[in-house]
Amino acid sequence: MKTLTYIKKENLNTFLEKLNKNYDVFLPVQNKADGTINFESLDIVNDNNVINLKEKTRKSPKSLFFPPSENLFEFEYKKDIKKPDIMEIKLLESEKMIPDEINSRKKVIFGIKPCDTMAVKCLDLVFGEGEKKDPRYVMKRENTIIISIGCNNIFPDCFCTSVGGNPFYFDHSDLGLIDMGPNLVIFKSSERDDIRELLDKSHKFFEEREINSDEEIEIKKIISESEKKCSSNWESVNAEDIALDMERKFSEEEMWKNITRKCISCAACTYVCPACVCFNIGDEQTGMKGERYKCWDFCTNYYYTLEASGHNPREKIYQRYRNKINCKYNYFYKRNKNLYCVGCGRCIDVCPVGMDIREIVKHVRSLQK
Amino acid sequence: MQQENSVEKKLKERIRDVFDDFELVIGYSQSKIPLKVNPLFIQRKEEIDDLIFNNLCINNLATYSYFLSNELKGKIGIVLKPCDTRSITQLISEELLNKDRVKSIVVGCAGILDYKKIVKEIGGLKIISADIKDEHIRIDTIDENFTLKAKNFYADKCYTCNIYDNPPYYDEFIENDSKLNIEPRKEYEDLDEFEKLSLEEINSFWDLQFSNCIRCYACRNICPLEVCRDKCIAQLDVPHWQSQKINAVEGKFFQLIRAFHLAGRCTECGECERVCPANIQLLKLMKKINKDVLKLFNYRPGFNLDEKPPLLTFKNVEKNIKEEELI
Amino acid sequence: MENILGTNKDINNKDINTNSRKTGIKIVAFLCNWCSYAGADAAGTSRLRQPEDIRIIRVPCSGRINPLFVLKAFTQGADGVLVSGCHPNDCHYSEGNFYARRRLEILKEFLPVIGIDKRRFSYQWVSASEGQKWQKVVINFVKRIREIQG
Repeated sequence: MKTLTYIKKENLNTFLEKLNKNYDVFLPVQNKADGTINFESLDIVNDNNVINLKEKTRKSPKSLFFPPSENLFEFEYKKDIKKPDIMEIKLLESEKMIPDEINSRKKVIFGIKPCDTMAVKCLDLVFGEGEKKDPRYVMKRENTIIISIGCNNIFPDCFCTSVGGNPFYFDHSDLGLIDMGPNLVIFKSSERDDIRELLDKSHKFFEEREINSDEEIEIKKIISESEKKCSSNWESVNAEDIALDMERKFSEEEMWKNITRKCISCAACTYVCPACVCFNIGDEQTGMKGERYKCWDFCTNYYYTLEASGHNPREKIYQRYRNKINCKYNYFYKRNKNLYCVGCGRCIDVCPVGMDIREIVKHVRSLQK
Repeated sequence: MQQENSVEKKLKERIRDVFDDFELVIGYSQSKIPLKVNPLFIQRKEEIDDLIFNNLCINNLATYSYFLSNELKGKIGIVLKPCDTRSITQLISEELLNKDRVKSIVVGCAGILDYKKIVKEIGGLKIISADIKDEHIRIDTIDENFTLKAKNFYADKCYTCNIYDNPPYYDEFIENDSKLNIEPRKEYEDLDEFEKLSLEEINSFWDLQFSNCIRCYACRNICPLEVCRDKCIAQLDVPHWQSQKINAVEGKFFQLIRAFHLAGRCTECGECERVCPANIQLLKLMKKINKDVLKLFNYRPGFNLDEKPPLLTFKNVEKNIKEEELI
Repeated sequence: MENILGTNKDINNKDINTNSRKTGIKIVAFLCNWCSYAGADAAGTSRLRQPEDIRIIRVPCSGRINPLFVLKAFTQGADGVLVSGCHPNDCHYSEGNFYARRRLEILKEFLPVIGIDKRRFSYQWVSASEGQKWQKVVINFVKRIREIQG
């Protein structure tokens, strides 16, 4: 780095408010009543809901791209009295959801961590690339600017370095910032037109000067300390090896039964995971009108593989959990060349019975139980 | 984190003595996450050494009783606190559990600490490490350190408990030298306060609470009495009770389904509220129905093996029900 | 026992000549097939005039009523729910209404905690010959709902 472009933290709130005038700004907001942090719009920030950029959010930001529940379209059955044997279905344009208007609003996600941006890549591979793309997802993604802040603080359940990530990984962010005490320094900036436009419009908040050698050393120190702390939370996992191990140990039913005895097969880990992508599409109708929606689904559910005949290939909890682990560390890796676990540790934080995905993977890999 | 205390020693000895009768024993063990414990499934004698029992053991291990007793053929022993024994008793009185198959190893309780209350007190910060010594909890977070007085952070149910050293039902009882020592509170006090609010306030309270619900079903799956988790009507298309959409209205309706499924059966263990990722105050609904069942039918779930739950029976003349006349 | 209205003098045409299109009020009534539905039928054949805001759903017995039916009706937008069955000790299936009485009393006490006014729900016992009682129940219930709606 030759120049140091930075914004003073004391000007951050004004910068975000100015940004909120042209874009919808989303950032981690802490609810003071119980202390949980989630990604919310800047509009709800007040005395009881404060901005907190240091701690991890409870739920992941995937709901900003892949909402928990989204209406695809509305329909209405129409009958003509003169032709009673014909039923017409008409798609409605109703005011409550005009998808393209909502999805094409410009958004800025501020304060997202590098592990979550790696998960956005996981979502891109499923919804945004290949032959079948989700047009609403593509539109949302094109109109979103991701401003990520690297992790100076590593928590005991973080393990991004073990799965190929890094606390200062900015490849999937549009702007990558480093927290250097009183200032947030731009470490990486994408060359896209809309990023240049954003920086130009907010130029009065950012200062620029030549970097001095002390600052260069400090940046390197921040990065290497975080990397070291994160690597001490778990061993490094080579993606190729883990996929093979999972494949080999698939039929060891007793082992899988023993390590998943605690699991109660709820959806807590699946729904807070930034990389879990399963969804369900259903139609709902009242009278002659109805709507088709897309919502989250969870593979640890008994109903997930229940067939119309009544047979269920994944009847027991250990089979469903085995599938979930294989999905993340084996199947998706083989298909998309990307591990679908980014090491954020949210599943460990939220699990009612304390299932630790690191322990599970370790059990599977080790030769003894 | 802590040294073995005397009740742990007694518990381990007792289980070693009776271990050969059991196919599986469920207890508590240390967790890597500070201030939490893990359920431990013991199938070999060596694993008994990992057992612990202290004031962090908040999990209700009776959740595993129904499903394991259907899966395994032999006897199952479960380490329980007296409040958890109520769940086992309720299941036995409803004939969902065979009392010869599941044996309760009840340990006298000195109260348990509520993790969520502690996290709320330190402002929601992530706990890096923690230690409990001499009635004080020492907590380290990224920037700050805290020292809290343990007796202010006990679970709500501990303040109204009077069975901590004489459980309603047990197969083995391990006495604890330390006893529960906190100021008792009146039963259903917080609920009485809540009922005094106006309808608009109550509605906006629930709207705010359920806005974060993600329908993860953790509340239903952790409940010892919800044995219907693989056949839940909330996930069926026919009959269509609920939409699968994830929003506040559906989240609230799911809790109403749960409240009526547990009417007159809920033993108020508080697990549903503990596991909710969105921190919703679910227990208020169950407590309200329990309060009315107590008032109308003089019945407390989980105390008496032979008493039939009131909503499964009836009387010709109901003394306490005052019906209204609309003419 | 609560008496909402005293005598017939207090019922006037304003209370009787209403329907949902005028008032916008939607009330769902669950009636047991053997007593209350027949009672409502008797009210109809005797030309006893009542407000037309209610929509009747026939169930075989009041004991068939799951409290969730009532809650689902409220969630879907009903302004009031009325349940009616045979008199206790007189159930066509001997015991259904005993169970119903217990469940519906618990439900009635529960409604305020989730933000629904207790007065929007009521359960009554109307037998097959009590057409006049049915008329009064409907008139008073609709009047009460209209008062709550303001």
